[in-house]
Amino acid sequence: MATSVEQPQTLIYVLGVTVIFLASALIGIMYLAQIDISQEYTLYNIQYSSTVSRMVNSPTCFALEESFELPEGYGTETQVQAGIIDWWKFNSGITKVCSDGRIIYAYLSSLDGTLQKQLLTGRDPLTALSDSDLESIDNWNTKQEKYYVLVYKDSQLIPAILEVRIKG
Amino acid sequence: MKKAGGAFLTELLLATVLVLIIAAGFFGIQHIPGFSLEPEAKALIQSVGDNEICNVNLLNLIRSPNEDGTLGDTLITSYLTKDYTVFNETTTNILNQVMLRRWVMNLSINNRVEATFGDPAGFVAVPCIAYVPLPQPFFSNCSFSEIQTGFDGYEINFTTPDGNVTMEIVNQFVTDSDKIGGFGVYPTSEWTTIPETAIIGEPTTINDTLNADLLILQIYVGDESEEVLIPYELTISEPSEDPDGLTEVHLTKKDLVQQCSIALNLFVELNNE
Repeated sequence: MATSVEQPQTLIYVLGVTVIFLASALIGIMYLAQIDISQEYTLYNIQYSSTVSRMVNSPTCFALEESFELPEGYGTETQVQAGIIDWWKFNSGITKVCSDGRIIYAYLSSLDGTLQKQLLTGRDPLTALSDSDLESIDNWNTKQEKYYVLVYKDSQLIPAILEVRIKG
Repeated sequence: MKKAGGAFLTELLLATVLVLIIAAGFFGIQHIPGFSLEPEAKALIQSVGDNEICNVNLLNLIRSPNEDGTLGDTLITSYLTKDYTVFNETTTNILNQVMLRRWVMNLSINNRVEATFGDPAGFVAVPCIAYVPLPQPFFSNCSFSEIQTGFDGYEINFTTPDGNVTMEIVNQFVTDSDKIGGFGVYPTSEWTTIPETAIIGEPTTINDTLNADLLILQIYVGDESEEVLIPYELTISEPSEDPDGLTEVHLTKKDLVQQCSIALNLFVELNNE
């Protein structure tokens, strides 16, 4: 006679476990479906890294390129000093090769405050940026990082901070 | 039947509660501060840029000019005197100005941490490393490099940290024919067979032995019985166009960089923005 009571209980257990399993699976799938890695965000970071890396390390941008004499008969050789900014190049502005079509804001300031220079793609590097330009840059919702660099100016290395922002 | 009905209601209620708890758990877990799958994915992507920042900052840090020459020179002085006050102050000052995030720097030699700078509070970090070579006089087992000159028939002796090296330049002559590589004259040198147990192994690289301006030997110095063999490079060259053929013999230890340098590990907090 005991089985008449146990059989419905077993059925309830099976039904209950099945319901819980299905509900859990459904909720799990719904939760996993919510995970979304922003493709736009990913590309933006790679773009930022590659652009700043080129600015700091490439002689086509701001990196210092020095020439030195090889032993007699071997001529001269050039060496790129990655991470060292050539003040002359920076003062000349951001070239098209360097910016690769992007709108870039670069701010170089020495730690002792003697050097300060702001650049914006498409603006005359010899003219200070206008207030409207600076206000516009402030509104860029973009990644912003500081790099510790050395600036080569008048045969001297000057510690400085390079700040780069790229318009998205 | 009442019992069965009661049990059914109890089970149904239990199952409903369990489902609600699981549902609340799934939806509630993403509201726990710091828990989300999405930022982890972003962090992996961002580490590319973070590593670039770390490398540029560290490289420029050790070559920054200061009173001693560079900050790298200050580091050497600090290590030799075991007083890191000046280095720590300068480094902290620079990195605090530059970094928008937290940082920690370890100074180590041969994988042994000697000093730590910055706030070592735990955080997820991107590491990078730079080496500052130790000056040879203060690190006797490293960076052996000695040049000696010898004429035909002279015995040349080197006393290295790993054993003595003796060799004899014999049968040397010069010729002014066949100008190669910018030299006007070319010595041809031979050496006696392996002169001492300190040199183990045959020469592995010999450039242009018949009419040469440069001979290079890859040799091992050490005690063969103890199986401690240290690689060295022996270079015999003609340094000038002097027809008397002064031969320059240069013995250089091929150091392991981590044994002969101060390693600086910089850890920059991962940007999770």
